[in-house]
Amino acid sequence: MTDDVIMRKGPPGTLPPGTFTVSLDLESYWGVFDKRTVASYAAHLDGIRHAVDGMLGLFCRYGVRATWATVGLLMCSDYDEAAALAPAPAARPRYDDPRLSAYPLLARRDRSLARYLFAPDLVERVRQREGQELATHTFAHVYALEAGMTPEAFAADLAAAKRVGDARGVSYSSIVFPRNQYDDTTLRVCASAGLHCYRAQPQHTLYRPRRDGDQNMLVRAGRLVDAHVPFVDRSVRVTAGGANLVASTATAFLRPAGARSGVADVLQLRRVLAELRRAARCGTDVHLWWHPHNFGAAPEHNLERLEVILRHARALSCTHGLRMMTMAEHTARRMTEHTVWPTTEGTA
Amino acid sequence: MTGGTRPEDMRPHDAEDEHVPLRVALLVGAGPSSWAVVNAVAAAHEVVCLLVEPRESRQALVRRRLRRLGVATVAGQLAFQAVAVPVMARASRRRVRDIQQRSGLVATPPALPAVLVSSANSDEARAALRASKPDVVVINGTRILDGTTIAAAGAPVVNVHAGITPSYRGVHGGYWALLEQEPERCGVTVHLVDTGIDTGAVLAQALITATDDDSFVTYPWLQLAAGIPLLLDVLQQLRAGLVPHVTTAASEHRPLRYHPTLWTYLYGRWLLGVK
Repeated sequence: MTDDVIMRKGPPGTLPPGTFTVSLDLESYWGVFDKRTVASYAAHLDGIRHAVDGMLGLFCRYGVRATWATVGLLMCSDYDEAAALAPAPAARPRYDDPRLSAYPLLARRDRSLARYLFAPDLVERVRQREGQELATHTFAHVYALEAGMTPEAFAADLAAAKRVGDARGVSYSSIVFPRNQYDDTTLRVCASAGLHCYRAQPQHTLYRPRRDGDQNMLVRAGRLVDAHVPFVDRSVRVTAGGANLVASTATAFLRPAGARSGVADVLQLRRVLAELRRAARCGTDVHLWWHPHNFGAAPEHNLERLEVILRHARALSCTHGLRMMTMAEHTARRMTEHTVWPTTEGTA
Repeated sequence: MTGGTRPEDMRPHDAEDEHVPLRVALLVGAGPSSWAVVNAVAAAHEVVCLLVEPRESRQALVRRRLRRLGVATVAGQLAFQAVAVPVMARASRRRVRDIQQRSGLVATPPALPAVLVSSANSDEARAALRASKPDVVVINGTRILDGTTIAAAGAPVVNVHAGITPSYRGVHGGYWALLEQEPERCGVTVHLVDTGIDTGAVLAQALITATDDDSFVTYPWLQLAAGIPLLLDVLQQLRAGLVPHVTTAASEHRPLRYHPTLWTYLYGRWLLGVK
């Protein structure tokens, strides 16, 4: 087949190609341990392996390079390894609200929960696929902005995450913060720990990193509306944060769909597809993120929906040169293009 | 009954006849895209026979599709053609003109003696083909040829199909490829004709790139702009005594394409931005 291209509008290459980045928070029960019981969330957790396999298959088919931000504890084989690699008790965060700490759950050593807490096989599956980046999501899903967290405790947690990575032969250059909580101090700690980039939130009041208790109904409602009918300015800016840690700004959270498509699901799908087209045509960036366990309850339907997005991205890659990139690749590219904006963000 | 021209049956000119014009018979439907094919071929080769088949009556077409697709789908297709196509055609006049001018397509009726036949598979069409003794028959915009007509041609029968076969057979292959997010299969095919629908051996293919100004009504013109040079290349190879390279396309079990329904079109445009 010849590859003739006729009548392309405007000379190709007049704009830098847009980018499409995917990041996933791979955390299993560690992502919800302070909010949900295992029993109430078992359906999601049981489906996670199927969902991850499905995502990896789709990423491979459509050439998507994704960043998998993984909780360090999830990478451990069992309670013994987790205890051995964890920070010393004195170095762990001492939240004002003790329910936020993962360590009491670890101390229970409940064998029935182990399959929801440890999944080194899952991480290995990701690692074996080409073009997938493993990033850290902290060791114990710690919350940088919650009362009681200190820079020292956060640094100790990152050191533990690095120990797990070393044990698995993984080195990190990117971090995704649990509950998207970070500030300048946290960013400096991350830079000191040898990390280079992080996932930032859009620069808007609705998405300002804040404590969980500050997520009031108005903020949640605003984000919900914005997810389906966007009104927040999403012109992505790669921002030099504290200590020159570089941000890859998330543009959309892929909300999980139920077993059947509703109007809201279709609206969100359309919004993501429209953002991809805009990125391809205008040279901007799309950074989509979600939790694999969100797919767990209805994996087939969610994977179908994801495939629509990835097919669209691949088509735009063919027609407009949209580039698929991990977080590390995305930020490195933007840095080399000298499009770093000298602003500070993320103060809580 | 023969199954159509096989690649090994292609009978190119002898190499010694290189300077003898290729004798081409044209069997086309009445319409601007067919005129573009006829005018392009006539400018480069000797047209020994031009047969024109009138459009199939709308009632007959609807009856046939009702049997095959059902009431709801056909109603949606008719709504699409009654509502969306005229609007797009009006909005795309300038773009179509632009494509025609840039590609040198002449879409006006040719100044050639033409014979109007009731059907491409009629006895009169077969007799005219047989009598003209062509080196090759080029068809465009006709109904599906049956084996008797193909045999009557006594020469390779070549078609310019608006789609990449075998993935996109039927009509508007460019649109369907874009709707199914396969721009790498949005293009045009020159193929040998057999008794199937766009199932013949592939002689040449080219891709097209749709711009923001393009839509359902301009994709066929982009395909023609890319397809006619391919057709002329194939004819030139035959004239030079070469057998065009034939690709045996992998069989794919994809449905035959028809017009979209109005709701399919609107949903695809709203969700995927495919015009």
